Amino acid sequence: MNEIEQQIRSLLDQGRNAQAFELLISHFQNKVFRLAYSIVGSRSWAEDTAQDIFVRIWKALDSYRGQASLSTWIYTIARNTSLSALHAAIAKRTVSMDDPGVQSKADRAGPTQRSCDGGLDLDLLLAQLPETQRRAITLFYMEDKSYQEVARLLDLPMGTVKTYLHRARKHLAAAALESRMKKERVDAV
Amino acid sequence: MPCEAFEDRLIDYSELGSADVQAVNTHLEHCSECRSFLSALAGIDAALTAAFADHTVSPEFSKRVTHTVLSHPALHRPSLVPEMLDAIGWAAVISILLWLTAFFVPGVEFSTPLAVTIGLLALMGGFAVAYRCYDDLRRC
Repeated sequence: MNEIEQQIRSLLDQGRNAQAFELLISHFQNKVFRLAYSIVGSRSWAEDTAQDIFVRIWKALDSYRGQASLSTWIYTIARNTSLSALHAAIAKRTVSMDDPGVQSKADRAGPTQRSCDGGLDLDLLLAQLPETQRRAITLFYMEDKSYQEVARLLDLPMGTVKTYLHRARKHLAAAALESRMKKERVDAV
Repeated sequence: MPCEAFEDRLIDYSELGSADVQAVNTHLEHCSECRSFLSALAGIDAALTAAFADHTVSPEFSKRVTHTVLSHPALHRPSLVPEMLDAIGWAAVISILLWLTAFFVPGVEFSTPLAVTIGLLALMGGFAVAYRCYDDLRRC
């Protein structure tokens, strides 16, 4: 347990929940936001989800008894809330395909279309990956390429994270290569 | 597509040991397919780094959350006190019923200690119910 977590725990023990929460939010807001982003896939949606996550954490703060480490407890709430938000949106989309509130998988990344080598649409490529691989690779690059952080945030064994990343890279590189070859063929014609 | 024997090592190129790096580099000198694949991997890596590095919440996020949170009171730990007060209240109700039985049903009589006990229980029950009502009103 790091120093900040200890401070938060100590404030909670003293019943100073509001102060504990302020410290908690300043320390965990970016991690929680990134975890939410890796699951829901868009910036604005991830911020809304992160807000819901912190409201849940606040409501449950009194019931936190220290049985798990504070970060583990927070990430569990964050994952469950984000997954619920995603599943609710998918269910809503199934009911109504025209609902403007529910974005399609391909346009979840928001209005700025990111491209990579050869003008390939990165968001489209990521959207083609299986959910587990997409989450892992998004978090990996958000968390300074740390396998350990990805494993901690997604609550997966390190070996599983490495496997997901390996498969994701293989898929993305193959797609990029194929697209580049197609472009070269068109240019040649 | 890259050569099957080298594909995995190309994907994990940045994490290879020196012996593997040397073997891959030697192979790359003669294989344009694998060179293209490695270049595609590097392109993907650069694009992902550029797209996802420094992803942080907007500056007003914590203020917005704090404002929202203040409108949601924190839940308190479950307490046994209300349940105990309920139990005492029910005991009082039963005591009063017993007392009324002793008064109005002919042939039923209580000894003095039992009557005093029932009376005390009824009194405690009255206080418990009153406190419970006060507490409920205070929370509203």
